[in-house]
Amino acid sequence: MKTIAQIIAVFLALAAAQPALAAVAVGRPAPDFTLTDTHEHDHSLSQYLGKTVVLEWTNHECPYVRKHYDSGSMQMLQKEETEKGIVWLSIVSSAPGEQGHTAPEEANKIMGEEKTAETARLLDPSGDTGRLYGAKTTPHMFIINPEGLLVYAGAIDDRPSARMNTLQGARNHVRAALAEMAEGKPVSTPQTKPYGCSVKYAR
Amino acid sequence: MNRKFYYILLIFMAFTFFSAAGHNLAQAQEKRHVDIRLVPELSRIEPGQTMYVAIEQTIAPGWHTYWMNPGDSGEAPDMRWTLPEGFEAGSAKWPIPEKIIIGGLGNYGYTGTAILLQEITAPENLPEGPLTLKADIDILVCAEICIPEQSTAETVLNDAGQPPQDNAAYIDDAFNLLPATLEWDSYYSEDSDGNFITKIAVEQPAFVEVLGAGTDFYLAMKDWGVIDNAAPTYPQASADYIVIRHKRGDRPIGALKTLNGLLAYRDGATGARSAITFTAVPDPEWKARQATPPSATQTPPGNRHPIGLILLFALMGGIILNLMPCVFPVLSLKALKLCRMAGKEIAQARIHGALYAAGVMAAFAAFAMLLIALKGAGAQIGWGFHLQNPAFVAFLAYLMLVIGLNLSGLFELRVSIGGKNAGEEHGYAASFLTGVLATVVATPCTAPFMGIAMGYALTQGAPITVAVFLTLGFGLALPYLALSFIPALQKSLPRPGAWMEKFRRIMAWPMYATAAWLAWVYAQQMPPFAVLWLMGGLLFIASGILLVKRRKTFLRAVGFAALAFALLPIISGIRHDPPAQMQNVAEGWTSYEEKSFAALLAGNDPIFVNMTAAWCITCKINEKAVLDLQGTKNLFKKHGVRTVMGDWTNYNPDITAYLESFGRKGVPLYVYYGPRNPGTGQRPDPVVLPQIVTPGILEKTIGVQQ
Repeated sequence: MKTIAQIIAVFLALAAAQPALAAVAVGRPAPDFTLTDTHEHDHSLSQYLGKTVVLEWTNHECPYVRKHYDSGSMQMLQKEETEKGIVWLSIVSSAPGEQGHTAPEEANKIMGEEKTAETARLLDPSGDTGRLYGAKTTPHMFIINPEGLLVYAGAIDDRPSARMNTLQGARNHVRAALAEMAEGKPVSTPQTKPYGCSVKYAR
Repeated sequence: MNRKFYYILLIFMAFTFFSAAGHNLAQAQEKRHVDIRLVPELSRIEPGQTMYVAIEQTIAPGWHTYWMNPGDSGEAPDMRWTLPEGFEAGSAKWPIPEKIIIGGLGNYGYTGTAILLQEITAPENLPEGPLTLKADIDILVCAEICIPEQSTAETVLNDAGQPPQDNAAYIDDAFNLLPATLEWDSYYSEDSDGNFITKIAVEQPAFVEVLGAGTDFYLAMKDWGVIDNAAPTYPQASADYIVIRHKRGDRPIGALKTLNGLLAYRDGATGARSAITFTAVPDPEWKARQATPPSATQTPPGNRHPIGLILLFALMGGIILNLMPCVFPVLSLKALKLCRMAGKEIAQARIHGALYAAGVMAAFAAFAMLLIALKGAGAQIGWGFHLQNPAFVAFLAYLMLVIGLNLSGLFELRVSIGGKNAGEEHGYAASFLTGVLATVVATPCTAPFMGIAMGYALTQGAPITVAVFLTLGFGLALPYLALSFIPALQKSLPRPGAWMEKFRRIMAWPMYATAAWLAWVYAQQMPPFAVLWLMGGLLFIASGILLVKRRKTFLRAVGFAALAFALLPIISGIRHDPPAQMQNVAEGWTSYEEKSFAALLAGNDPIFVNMTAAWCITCKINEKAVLDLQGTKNLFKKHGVRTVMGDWTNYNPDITAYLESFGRKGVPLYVYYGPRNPGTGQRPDPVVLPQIVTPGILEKTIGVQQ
């Protein structure tokens, strides 16, 4: 009888198996994570439920990231948005020994020199959170609305280039999306192709 | 004279030194990783002539540049031409890219030497003299790190001072490194497992053999996000079609029209890197499937079963239903009647059997009709949905009590519906009504196999729904039907005797137990005070039934009053607005909410989902006998399993939708989601466990999926 039950069980399990859902998709809940920032504080996405959260994958040595920081445009956007109460988390997923990997003190020094204005810079040396989100490039931007749904994923702007002069006249997708959200409108461009250096995951 | 010579020599040496030093310095500062030169097909161009200019990248060892779709990261080179007046530049032809995977990210690009071919057309009125073609090229070159480089390359045509050059052979070689352009009909679609499927109609069957001998296949799409770049490609070729399967990327492609791509491979004979290109349009069949409402695009797994198998499930489910604690007493009674009848003529036994079966099937058919009607009205319902209604729960509790009292011998139920004579003489109506009754009392019970059949039935058209329900009913009626039609079976029944009365009394107890359980279900659905009313109602029913049999008018009146009072809990159940989506979740379980569950699913931990309801006796048995065991809790803890419970006791559309996504229309439903594979970032497919779980099944499922 037990054997029959097991045969039936296996059969039913096979019959009813169904594919899983995609991990991260615009319009679906953003997966939770917990990371430690450069001041040894833990941050979980779930603790910010009720607020808009921007995730910025970064690598301070990547030329594409440099375009946005040397020009000061990224810091300006961070400052403007965090002053409005938006949570901005920059995340470094570079593995130890790879480009952009920083110890906490080093990261704090860079942040001070560059006058960055994010809520916190989170260190993800294992790359688990980066892989969870499918972060591919630096910069790679994600916006999560107060209900915890992913509403934007992709590039920082529409000029996939490392050249400084391409900032002129570019549409900053993150700025535009946050402005639309502030007006209660849906994000008109919810997904773009991220551009930049690859995230330097452990190989 | 001498002195003058030395001065000159000194100045010359100094100049040489500084220029050399300056040259070295410049080299150190601008050590390029990509050298770019332009190679024209011919150094002389005629008016109106079209020729190719090669853009040759010489890439430093260990570094790479990118294809037009760089893949997960990187950037395609940006080329800006400055041409003499009237010249036109066409589109560039890109050589077959390599697939470069670093740290789980997939890119398409070039190493060593890469030659792009640019079409150039001269105007009819060609300007005189040397003509300079200039290209400003921004190119990203990466090893572990990336460096954007800016280059300017020039070539001069029609320069009378230079000997004519013919580079046609060089251009031809470059052409050989381009993908082969096959303009065969191609179609793309998505399959239910999240794959991007490209179907290319084969026009030259011989080519299939070439492809068959190839190795090292990969698909590259010109548009970003269509495929998961780091994933492998699975090509298959037949005489008619080349079918390429590749995991889908994260960009929605519903709005895209034609998609261009190439299938690269290593030639089996020459070992050379080869590729075929395609321009694919949406597969019409796939589009047609998409055009149906979104709820229908996700095919419930039940639909994959052939109808015959579903009917078999329904039949087995119906037969197993006979053994359920709420049904068994009623049926064993029926069987007892057969014992008595065993001596009488067989024909009458058959009539009773057939009537009983008719009663069961009529009730099932009515139930099916009701479900179809409610579904048509847009209700989110499933098997056992009526138990989400406290009024019906109260009614069932009464019914169980009344049957129990009857079995205990406190009163005899006279069937007065359908004419007293017929009922009295042969009990035909009683047989039919027993069938109806068996169905009604069976509703709280979901037997194994019923779930799949039921789920399937309710997602199909009305005829199939009715067919499945009738089959279920036939299954429920079958054991008794067999007994009444096959005299040999009747003979195997024990001989009638005094034991039968005892058996009947014993059978009353499962009915009382069911009534008590239904009272508890009612308690889950209603405010605490209402439960007192139900208990009172049960008391009124019992006393009312006993009193109305009395001769004295007064006592009879009291009896009827008691019965009337007993209606109160039912009425208050009808008037009661169900606590919308109120869930009662056991300790250690997270309640099922669509949003938080999706977040859990997006995380890495394994998840066990238990969809249950207070009125689902199978669920409760499983919980007490398996899920609440310390061993099970330890198993969950050991594997870090997140436990999620959905309580369907009350109406809850989210849970109904979840059940439907597994092709179910009822509880219990147990689903296990294995942990995300840290290497691939994928979750294994969820596993649906059987409706009767055992610790062994749990251990096997959770153990295997680790």
